[in-house]
Amino acid sequence: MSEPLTPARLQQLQLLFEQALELSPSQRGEFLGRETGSDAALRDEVLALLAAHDSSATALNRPVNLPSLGASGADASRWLGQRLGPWRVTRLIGFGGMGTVCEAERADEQFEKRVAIKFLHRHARIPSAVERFRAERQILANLDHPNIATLLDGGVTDDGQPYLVMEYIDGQSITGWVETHDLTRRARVELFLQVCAAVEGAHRQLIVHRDLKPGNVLVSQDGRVKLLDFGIARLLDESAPEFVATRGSEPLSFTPDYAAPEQMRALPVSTATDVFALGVILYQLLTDRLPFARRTNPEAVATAAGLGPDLDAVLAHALESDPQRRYPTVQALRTDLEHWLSGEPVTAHPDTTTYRLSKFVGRHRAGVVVGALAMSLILVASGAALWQARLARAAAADMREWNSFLMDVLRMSNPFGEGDELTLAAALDRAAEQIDTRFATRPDLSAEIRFGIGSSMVDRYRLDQAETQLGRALADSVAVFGANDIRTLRVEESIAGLRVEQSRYRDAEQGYQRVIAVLEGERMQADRLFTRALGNLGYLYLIEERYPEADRALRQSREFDQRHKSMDDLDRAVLLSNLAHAAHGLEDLDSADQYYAEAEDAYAAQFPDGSPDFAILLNNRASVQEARNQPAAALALYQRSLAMRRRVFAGEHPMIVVALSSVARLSAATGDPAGALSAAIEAARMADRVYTAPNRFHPSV
Amino acid sequence: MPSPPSSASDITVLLQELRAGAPDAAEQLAARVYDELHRIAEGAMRRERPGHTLQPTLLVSEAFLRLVGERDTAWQNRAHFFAIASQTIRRILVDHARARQRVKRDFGMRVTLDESVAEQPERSLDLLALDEALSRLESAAPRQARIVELRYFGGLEIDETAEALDISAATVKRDWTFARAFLLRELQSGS
Repeated sequence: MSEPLTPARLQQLQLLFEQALELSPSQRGEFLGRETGSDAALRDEVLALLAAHDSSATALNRPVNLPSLGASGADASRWLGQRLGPWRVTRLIGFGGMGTVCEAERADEQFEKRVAIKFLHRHARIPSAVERFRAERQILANLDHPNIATLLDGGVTDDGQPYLVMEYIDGQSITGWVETHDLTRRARVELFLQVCAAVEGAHRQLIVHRDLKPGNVLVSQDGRVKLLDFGIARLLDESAPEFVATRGSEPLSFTPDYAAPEQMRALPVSTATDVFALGVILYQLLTDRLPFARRTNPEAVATAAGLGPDLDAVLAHALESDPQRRYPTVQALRTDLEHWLSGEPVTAHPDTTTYRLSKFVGRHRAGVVVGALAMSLILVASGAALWQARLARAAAADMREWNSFLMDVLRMSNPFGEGDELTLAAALDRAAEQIDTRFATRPDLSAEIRFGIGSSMVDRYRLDQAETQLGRALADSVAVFGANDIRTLRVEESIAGLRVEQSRYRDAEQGYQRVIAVLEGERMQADRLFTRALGNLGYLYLIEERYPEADRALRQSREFDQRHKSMDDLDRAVLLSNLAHAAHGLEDLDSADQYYAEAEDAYAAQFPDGSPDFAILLNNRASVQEARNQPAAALALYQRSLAMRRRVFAGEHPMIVVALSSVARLSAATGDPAGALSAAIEAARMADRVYTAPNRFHPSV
Repeated sequence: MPSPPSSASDITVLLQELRAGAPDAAEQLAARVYDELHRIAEGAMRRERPGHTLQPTLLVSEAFLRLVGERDTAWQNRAHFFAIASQTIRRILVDHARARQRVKRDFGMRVTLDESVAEQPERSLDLLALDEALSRLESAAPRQARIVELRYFGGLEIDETAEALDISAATVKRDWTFARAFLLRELQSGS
């Protein structure tokens, strides 16, 4: 500010500020212009003050929080240069609520070693507490996990100050790391899995962290997660029991953002306490904000993260107030996140229609449009007038926008809401019943909707209902749009898929061929329907083991996709896998292996953590290697496939039995009878268990 | 070694001297309050889990109870005490922030074993910048600056602030509104 701030000037400022504040914003300019005359600087300053007053800034709205005043820099510096056992303190790293942290090195220079020494606050300056401190320290020192900073040593200084010597981590807090590296959501979840692994490791040894927060979760330069301070909170509590007893009578503090409700109530903590803190950290990693605004109430409910139903459900489950209702273990949380990564259903979900629908859309990629339409229909069918209005309005809009809007609706829908627990089938049935009455005057809309419902029914193996809906969709579509309209062709392509499922292969073949021919005639080969119809025709030929025709159709599909990039990545991965399959059928083993290699890359990009289809692909590739007389390479692939199956199917599963028997067979062939035997025994035992129940899996699995 | 507890009567005497205008009563009183606040803060942190923070108004009340005792209910004493305590908290926090800043500058904070302070919602408010802005306000409008100290650093409500400064609540309200806007603007233009 140019004008010196004198008492007179300030008084003038305050007076004008107060007067202007009484006026409506529109009157202020004129008032100030009149009052300040030629003193434009004065006018600008008052305006700036008014702007600051009107801004949403919340600073100063409530009294300052007092950080731990006990730990000051001066307090810490007295350790510099001192020797503690073999360690010499070299510099101050930081300080905070828990204590002061210094870097140190071995004073005897036996070997180069940097460590971090943590001087705890004087919580434990009581002889009995020091005893306990020593005992606890031993337990913690045994906690050996690559993602946990190792406790190397610890003791009590001559003047009774307890300290811990820990592995020195050159790293950054996990929140800082994801920010500086601008990680994608997937990458954040993957990084978080490392945190889970560390906490799981400690829980196996019955050590609960109790104070998980980003500041205690570091990421080292090479991207490895390191947890700090494991068990230290417990150590402090137990070494100061008399303080624990008085907790609660003292209203001098409030609880930080990561504490579980049971901690806030000073109730017993458990592994579920760490699950809660992990939930908060994950929430923060994925949304860059905390789930609770200002947390003073243990019952506070996390605000929805808005990350889609799956992640929202995972977070809500981890952040349940009642520890009994949370994920029982960190492993359960981790497994769900792994499912999310591979696009499989998560267990956290309340079993609602919305969830099942959205998951269904995720799995059947080609049916996204379909799923969204079905979804919209269910919203309409459930009688929500608002949705109906939107639906009518959207009919005029571009179809693509309409779908993306619906996908948004689907994502926004509250998966935790009450309401009818409809199964998907029942919801579709109800929706189908409503079409005639709701869309009697809109055959264009009803055709699209029946197409959506019919196609989903194909995917759900409800072939009769699919037949009805798709048949009516086709009739309406031909009537409204014409026989060669792309919308009609989409229905026909879907009907051809239905014929494949019905084993009516001739009808299917003719259906695909007609769609392809019309698109060619209309010069619409760039449409994704063209590559899809060719790809599905190729797939039909593969089923029929007509390899030359399969190869021709699939190659053509590939060619147009390469020209127009009309496929999405997953469809392309499937196409490559089918091409490999065809080449194998033609006994062109080199081409087959080459296609599999490409397909493998494509799958790896889609499913970095594996998926059932990916595991099947590895098996198929192994069989090519077997045919090429490469048993070692085949075994390696079977083993990878087995490992992936173990990962994607938590527990036992027929697909694991299949992979185990392949590994057993190839182990025997490659001169590893012991490996063969153990795999065979495991396969036999698992088969006894998994095949006792009727096989409820889709025939294609 | 803990320092000998301050006798409540000592403090009462100092407060009376302060009211009577004794030259170094304020300073002596501030030193006592400073020690006591530190002690209470440490005690509170010790009882609670790491990462907790304190609310100033409770801290000040506890300091008052311990230094002055409940028997001394003379409102002037209480008011003066609160004024000094708020000022002292400001000083402690600023010292603390300076120390932290020094540590950061000298060593770099590559490993933060405890970020409980850095992660508090207050992180957006730069205490050192606030202190500077407040000093600037103080030079031209000491009463308004005092009000900020009592409200922000001492956690006092409007009425309590009015009582401590012996002015009307309406004045406190007006001054506070203006001072807050002034400081916000200073902080915004500084960043």
